[in-house]
Amino acid sequence: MRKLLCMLLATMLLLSAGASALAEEHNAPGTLPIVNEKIKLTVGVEQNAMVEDFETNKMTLWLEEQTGIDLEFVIYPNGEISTKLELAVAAGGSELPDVIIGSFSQAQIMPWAEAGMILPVTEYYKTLSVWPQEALATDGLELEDVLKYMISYDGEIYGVLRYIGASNNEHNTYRLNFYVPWLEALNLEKPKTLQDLYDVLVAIRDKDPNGNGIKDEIPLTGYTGSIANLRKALMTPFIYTQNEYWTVDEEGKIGVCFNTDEWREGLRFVRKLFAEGLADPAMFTQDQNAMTVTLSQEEHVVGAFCRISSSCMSSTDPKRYEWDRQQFFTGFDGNTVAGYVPTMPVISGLITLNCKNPEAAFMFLDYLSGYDASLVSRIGFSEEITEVNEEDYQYFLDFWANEAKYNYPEIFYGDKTHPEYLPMNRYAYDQTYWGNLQNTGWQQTGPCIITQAMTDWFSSASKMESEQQKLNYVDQYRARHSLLEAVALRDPSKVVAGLVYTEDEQTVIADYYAEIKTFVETTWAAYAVGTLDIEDDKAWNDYIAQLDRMHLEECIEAAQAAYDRQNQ
Amino acid sequence: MLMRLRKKYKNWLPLYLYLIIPIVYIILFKYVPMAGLQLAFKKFKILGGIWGSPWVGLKNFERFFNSYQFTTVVTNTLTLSLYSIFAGFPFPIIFALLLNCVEKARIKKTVQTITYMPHFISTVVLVGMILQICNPNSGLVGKISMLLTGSKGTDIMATTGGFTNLFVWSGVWQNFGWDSIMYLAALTAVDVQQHEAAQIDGASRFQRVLHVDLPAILPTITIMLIMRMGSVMSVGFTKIYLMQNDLNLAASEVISTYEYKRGLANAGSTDFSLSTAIGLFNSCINLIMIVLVNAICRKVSETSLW
Repeated sequence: MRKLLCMLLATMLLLSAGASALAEEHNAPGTLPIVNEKIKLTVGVEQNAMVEDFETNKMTLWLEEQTGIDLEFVIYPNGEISTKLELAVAAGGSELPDVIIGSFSQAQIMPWAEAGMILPVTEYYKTLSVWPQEALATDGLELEDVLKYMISYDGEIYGVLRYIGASNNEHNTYRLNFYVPWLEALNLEKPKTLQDLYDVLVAIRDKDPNGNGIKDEIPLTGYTGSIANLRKALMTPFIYTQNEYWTVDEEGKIGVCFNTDEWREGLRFVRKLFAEGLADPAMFTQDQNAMTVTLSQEEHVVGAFCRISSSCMSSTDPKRYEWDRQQFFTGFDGNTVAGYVPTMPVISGLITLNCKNPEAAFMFLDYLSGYDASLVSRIGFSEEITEVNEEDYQYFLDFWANEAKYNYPEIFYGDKTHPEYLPMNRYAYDQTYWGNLQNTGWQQTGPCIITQAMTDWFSSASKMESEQQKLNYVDQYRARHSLLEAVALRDPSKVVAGLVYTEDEQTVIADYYAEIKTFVETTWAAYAVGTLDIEDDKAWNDYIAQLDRMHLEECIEAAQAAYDRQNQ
Repeated sequence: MLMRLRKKYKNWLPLYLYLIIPIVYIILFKYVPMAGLQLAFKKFKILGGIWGSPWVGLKNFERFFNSYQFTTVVTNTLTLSLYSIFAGFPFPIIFALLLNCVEKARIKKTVQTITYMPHFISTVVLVGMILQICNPNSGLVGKISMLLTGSKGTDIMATTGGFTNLFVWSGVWQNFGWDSIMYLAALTAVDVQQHEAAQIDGASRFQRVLHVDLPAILPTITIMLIMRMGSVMSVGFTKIYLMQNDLNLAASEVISTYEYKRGLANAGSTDFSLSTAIGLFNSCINLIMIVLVNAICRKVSETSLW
């Protein structure tokens, strides 16, 4: 709040100082309307199948009224926006609209930026941006932390952001799923430490939880597509393991995790699991279908499996909803950190060279990505939101008291002040809006910010008829709860993600790092199943030496340069 | 001069007119795109397009030859493709020779249809079948092994030898029926009189096959072999990529999958010039092979491609 006020004051002063020069261009950031004299902006956007007509859309009219800017749309046919834009750029850029909204990658926009077709907005973000802060604050994020992932390799930001936060997607690549009926049968808690994990797997292997007298239980399985997730889940308690394997220390120095002693310790633990029959080596060769067949067997045999969710199982199979998820484990040293992949913002609002009033255009896009506009874009207009009645509310309370198959002590609400509880339709809103053809909103087109907290606020639960629905409902609650635990245990200081490389750095990374990663992954598999002996020092030293021969140092240098640019 | 040409070709004019369409097609779709080969010697930049990108000489080839995996990858490619060619070669011939001896036309047709049906199974389905069967937990191999030995048995897909053999022999199973069609067609052209003469001379069935049928299809066999050798460096991408996993990668990383991985290492930026260089390298090797084999065949027998 104070920051906002200070920025407002500073900008007011600046404006009054240069008042004669700037004249009527735009009002101070944070005030509406953005301009006093109506200006026109042409907006290029790809056709959205769910939006009837952008020109007459209720949200467009509302935006025009709020911002004082007259919007004229240039609609590109579905799927052809990149081609059309490439053609316009090749023709010299005179046909480009003032502003273009959509979703663009660095690779797409960099040629346009180099040709001068789109303007950098780095300065505008420093001086004119106000609206995104409120939306991002609902998830505890700061704008700079999110913006740094949008910096191109020349240090500039070339578009207004679009951020759709989903904590499930951030944590699901570190997830193991445990079979709840067996945990209950063996009187065990879902394991949260590595020691507990080991004990639970041993109990599943030895105590015959499916009661058929044969030792056919498979404590932990997976498939080829989830080996990377298993690696991340089991190695993170030893050394923080993330996509691309970078590590960063307190001084900002980049390293890798796979040539450390902690990696070797982790491999010892993994080898122990495979050697004692606690993990199924078939996971390295079977595909998802084979794993699903094993999971769905009549006589249940799998105690735990590694996958982002149990959605590979058939939706009519009740066993699909009987898995509890765990996204972090406490290491043997007692430290707990939940690994996650931060949601990346997408470059969404571009300002082209044809725009006569780029500052006003930026402020418009900035407003579009703010809390109010994003919410309208996602759920429609607020007059349609009403509070749910007491009777419906009591229905869920009764369910937890009397009918739920598994017992959870907390009851939950859903409102803006308590987003940490699983929402249950405390606020009823127009459910026919999202995902259906209508003309009252933009259906999340272009810059907008929808954080997990905002999503929870307008999630809903409906009354349950069948056993399956009840199981599904409890499963959702369990999932949400385990996620909240994981979110609380994140450590953003360890995260290295979204590195943007210059062309030379890219050549280095493409030539050397891809091979290094393949080598690391195949060696990890060899150590895990025992083809290589983890206790053999000579083999380990050869492995480290081989990594150095594969130009690892150069890759780390390239990553360091990219990281420094991102965090200057 | 023109008059002479006109006289010579006047009668055949309609046939030459028919030729125009295929020739235009070949020029447009096979020869004109060859101009894109220059990308192998350039560094591709999106803004410049193919013609506007800067020249870098042999840098792309150097990047490929100097990479850590180069020898492994080329060895694997050659092993897999030569193994496939030589393992897969005798079966269609033997099968065609055998089927040709069957007298009842109905049985012949049925067997032929059944054997060339696997050719139409798509690669993805075939690999799915292989993975399903070889799974030590829920697959046929696992269940049989459990019955016979009481343990799950080794995972075939986890070993390098297992991968190579599975890849080659599943390919043989899938294609021998289809490939034998060529030979069966050639066998129908065998002179019946030669067979009768051989019978009169007292040759057994087997001797007739060896001395009449086989020499009759020898030209076909030679041509097919030369053409197969012309694709020795191109081992299909799809099947290998689907059958690869961390444990058998030492034998299953081939040139095509290797380049796919390098291209996607940076999400969103593909290196077209490197891929073109690899493709050009492959095609050159194939050309050398086909010229070599053709020369050998010309020396050894009368049949050759040119």
